[in-house]
Amino acid sequence: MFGRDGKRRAFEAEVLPHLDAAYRFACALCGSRAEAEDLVQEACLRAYAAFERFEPGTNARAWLLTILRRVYLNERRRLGGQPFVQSLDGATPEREPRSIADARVRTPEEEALRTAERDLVFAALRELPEAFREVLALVDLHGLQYAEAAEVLGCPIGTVMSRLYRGRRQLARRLRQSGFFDAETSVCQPMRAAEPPMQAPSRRHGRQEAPSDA
Amino acid sequence: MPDRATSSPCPNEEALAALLQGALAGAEKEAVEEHVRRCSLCQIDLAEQRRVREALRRLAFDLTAPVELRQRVRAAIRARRAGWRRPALLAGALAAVFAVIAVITVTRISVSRSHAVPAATLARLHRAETLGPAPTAFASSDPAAVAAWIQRQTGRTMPVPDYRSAGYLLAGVRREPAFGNDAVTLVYRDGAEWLSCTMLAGTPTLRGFAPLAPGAAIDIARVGEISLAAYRANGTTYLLASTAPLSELQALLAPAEAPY
Repeated sequence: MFGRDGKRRAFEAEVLPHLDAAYRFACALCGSRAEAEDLVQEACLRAYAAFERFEPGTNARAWLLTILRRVYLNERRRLGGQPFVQSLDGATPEREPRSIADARVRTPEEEALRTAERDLVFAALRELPEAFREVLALVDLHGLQYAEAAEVLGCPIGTVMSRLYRGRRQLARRLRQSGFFDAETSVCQPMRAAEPPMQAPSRRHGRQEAPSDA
Repeated sequence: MPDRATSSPCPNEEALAALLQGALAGAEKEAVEEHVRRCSLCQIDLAEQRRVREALRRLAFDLTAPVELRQRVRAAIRARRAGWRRPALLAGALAAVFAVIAVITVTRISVSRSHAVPAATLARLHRAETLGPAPTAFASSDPAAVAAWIQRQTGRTMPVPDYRSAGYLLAGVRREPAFGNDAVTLVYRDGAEWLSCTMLAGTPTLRGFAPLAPGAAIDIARVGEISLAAYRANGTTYLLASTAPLSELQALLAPAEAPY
């Protein structure tokens, strides 16, 4: 028999294990730790209120992330097209990315290196258009499969793949501009030794950088 | 173009993304791979894609939900409980809860039935690594990074036990293909000594183990030179293997029963 806490326990067992996924997605959408936390909390409360409609045995993670995205979009709409929390244009990479990570025990050198990389990557991610940001957060940051990401975003798998590809390319360009990816190391060794190393490519015809749907 | 040794047109972004994800198969995979082998542009593109993906994965290790957020969410849900007791919602809620519990129970039973774990088998599995360097698929001493890896690989959230108080430092983690997404093995190191901890979802039957003491939640076994210990916490079974004497393994477990 279940006590009065049955629903809460079931919810905590089924949905709360996906809090990391929700938090990463929220960080990519909001760009600030405090707002991401608020978004996650609000999404969890909405999910809890709607838990009766959750079909047990189906994907709780995709369900939670879908609700989180809906909360985010509704809130943004309510604010009249403003970003959910703050302008992404005025990102301050010196301060903000540091605040999103938990402090961990590392040597100062490790910490400095990791912080520098994290700041750059996170700042670059935040500058991307939202359509790229959310797919990169779901697939690359949290490791969702394409099908699950497509379910969360409500778009075809092909769109997920093309946005992912273009999003990574834009991110690489920004990381090169910030000096994190230097031009030389961004060029891989050719798979066949006989082929000469290439210059960074100009772009291929017909590939658009805008997040238009595939 | 002078830099391309292929005349076939470049695959579209979807195809290259699918190739990168290992989602292509058969003739399509062969065709895309063949093109990429000959096309320097695609090679550069793919290398860039991999670099960005890796950079984001590293970022993910530092982006885990803070403990305070978990606490906040739990507290907020508890505060909302009153709303759930409205009669209209009650029946639906109960049905949902029953179904969830049923699914959880069925999953556990299937794990138990298909994964009865004899001590001898476990000792054999771990023999090579407890006597020498242990293989890891992901080497890291950062529990959060390892937990993130496990989550990505198996879709499961498993706590990473901390044995630092006994001198064992986390070295890495690998999957256990025989158990699908139900198990991973953590590898710890103390100087030349290795300790492996297989975490298995559910409560499988253990064969060849003996209870450490009446009422104790720890089962132990010694097979040849391998000491084994098993304990259960939060629906996960932890199976430890080491060349250390059994007494040392027992001492290790006492304070570590509540994984962080």
